[in-house]
Amino acid sequence: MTPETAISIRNLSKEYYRAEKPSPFSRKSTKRTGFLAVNDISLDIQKGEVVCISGHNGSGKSTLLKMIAEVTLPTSGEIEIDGKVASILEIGIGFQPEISGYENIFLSGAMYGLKKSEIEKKIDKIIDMFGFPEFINTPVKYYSSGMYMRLAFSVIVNIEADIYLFDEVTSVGDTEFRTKVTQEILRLKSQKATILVVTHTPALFAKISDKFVIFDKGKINISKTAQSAITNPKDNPLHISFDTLKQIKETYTSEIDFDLLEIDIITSATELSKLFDTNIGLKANFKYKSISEFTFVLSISNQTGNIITSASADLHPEEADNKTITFEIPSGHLRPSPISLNVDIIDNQGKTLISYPNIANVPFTENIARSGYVNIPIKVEVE
Amino acid sequence: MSKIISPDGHIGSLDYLKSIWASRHLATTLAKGEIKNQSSMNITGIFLNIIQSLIGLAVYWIVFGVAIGINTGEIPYPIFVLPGIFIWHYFSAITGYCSNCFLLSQILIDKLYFPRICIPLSKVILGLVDFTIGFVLFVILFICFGQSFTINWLAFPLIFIMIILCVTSIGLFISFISLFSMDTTRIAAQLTNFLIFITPVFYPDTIIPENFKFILYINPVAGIIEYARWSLIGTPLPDFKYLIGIAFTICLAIVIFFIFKKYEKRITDLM
Repeated sequence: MTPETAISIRNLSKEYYRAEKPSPFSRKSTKRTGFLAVNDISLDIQKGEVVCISGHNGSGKSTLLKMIAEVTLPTSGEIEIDGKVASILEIGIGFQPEISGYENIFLSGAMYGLKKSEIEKKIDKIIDMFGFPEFINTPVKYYSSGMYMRLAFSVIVNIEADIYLFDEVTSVGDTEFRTKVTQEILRLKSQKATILVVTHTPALFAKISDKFVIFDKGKINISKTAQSAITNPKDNPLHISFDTLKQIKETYTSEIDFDLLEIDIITSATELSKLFDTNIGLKANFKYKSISEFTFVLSISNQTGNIITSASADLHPEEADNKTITFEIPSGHLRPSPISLNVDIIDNQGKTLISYPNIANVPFTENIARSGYVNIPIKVEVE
Repeated sequence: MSKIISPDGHIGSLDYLKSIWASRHLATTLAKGEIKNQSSMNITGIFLNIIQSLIGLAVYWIVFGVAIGINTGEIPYPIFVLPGIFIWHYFSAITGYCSNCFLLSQILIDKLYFPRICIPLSKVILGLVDFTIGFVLFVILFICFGQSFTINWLAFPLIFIMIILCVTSIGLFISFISLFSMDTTRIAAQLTNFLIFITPVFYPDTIIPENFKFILYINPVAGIIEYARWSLIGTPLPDFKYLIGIAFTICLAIVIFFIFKKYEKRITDLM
């Protein structure tokens, strides 16, 4: 471990047990099967680095963070840490609903190991960052969830730790909150703090991360760029197979004479590596089977779930097995930002029969100079 | 100042003591938060608390003092029974709080590391509020009944330390047991309901036949109540055999400290 290393992880493993408890009256004993949530990983993180950790649910990302935060012990291996760690595995943890925001700052600060005097020194800064000084003496149970998170977050970033661990902080809150989180991470980075972010949307951190760690079943892959973090080579996000679509349809009990068979998405740049292009276009092919009259609605939503735009087509009953419907957004109309496609099938009475929410996610990467969702011509003059 | 996290989770005894001392602020803040969380703990709450104690006292007085007629010598029955009540109440409250304290803070434990011992310790601090109210009430009644303070009162701080030590070690022990069995809460409640009868709370130990007294001697709470009565209301100095229970408490305190030290980092995995 060099003096420049903040966290050094060596052959780290964590085994959990899946206990299957039989009913209290059966004679079978409890079955315990072990599985490795984190499987022999080694990783060095330098001081001042921002590391973005992603992977599927249950792939071990949070377990790694928990071990660094000392919440749980590793089964084998070692972690060497240089500096004070602040772990934010959940925002607003430990707040007492009945006591005021002011007192909760002290409570939360104490949980992160701050002394009373240290919190007193920072209290003005925290309240300032919270942004609702008139509510500071109100019990937090009366706060809106946004205010609650802002208060918690203001405490966290003022801990003055050397290493920050964030777990899914961007999965809560509105866009404004997310922007604030990203800004704060940038500010902490400028102060030479080491930051580990666990996220399902690595695209959000593409600009600020130095290193990307992708978890897959307890093993890791390290890369320098966001592309590989976003697009797991194993599952192509631009092709949705019948298996996935069938699963969604099976959640509907009623008989529906419609089947979505396959989705293929072609972006203006057919190669995934060009998803970072600013001038993007999109073509989506849907293979379907329909024996009644339906309206097929495709809507495109952003990360927060707001629909940016939509289009629809009337389907006529046909005997042919494989029909294709294609939607195309010509290049230059969409701004690069992660989008999701949603499909709704509506019958002739205007009732939604089946919906496939977020059926495909296209991880276009945001570009700070061209942020937003759709291209509206804006005349710019520089004199 | 780099630190190493390894699978054994070892902490040195001195380091552990230091970390507990460093997190005293957290324990008190947790207790404070909880006091405020129980809405009954504001001014009306304290008032209700006193009323509740007085009603309890009146019931004991009528049932044990008047109806059954337990002989407490020259000491008025309410003065006799009060130290027993507030000390016993402290024990039973801590037993209750600690039997599910880890379960109630599971979300917190799962997401943040801080010395886990703070959670049961904050309950000990929380119970101190009721204890203080009971003690003040006792002093007021003591004066009202025209009792006079004796030199024995000077020994009460020492007994108070014993109470804290005993409550803490029992509380920690129960909280530790609760990590392994979900039934601890119920068992602890049943036990406290039962144990009050083999502890000299309502009656002086003189009414227990000599050959059953060993039950009192090994009961640490019995010893503490007897010594508290000796100090506060001038009952004769208790039999030295009561020290057995007290020695047992001190042993438990030492053992539980090492148990917590060993399991400190594993509590998340045990839950």
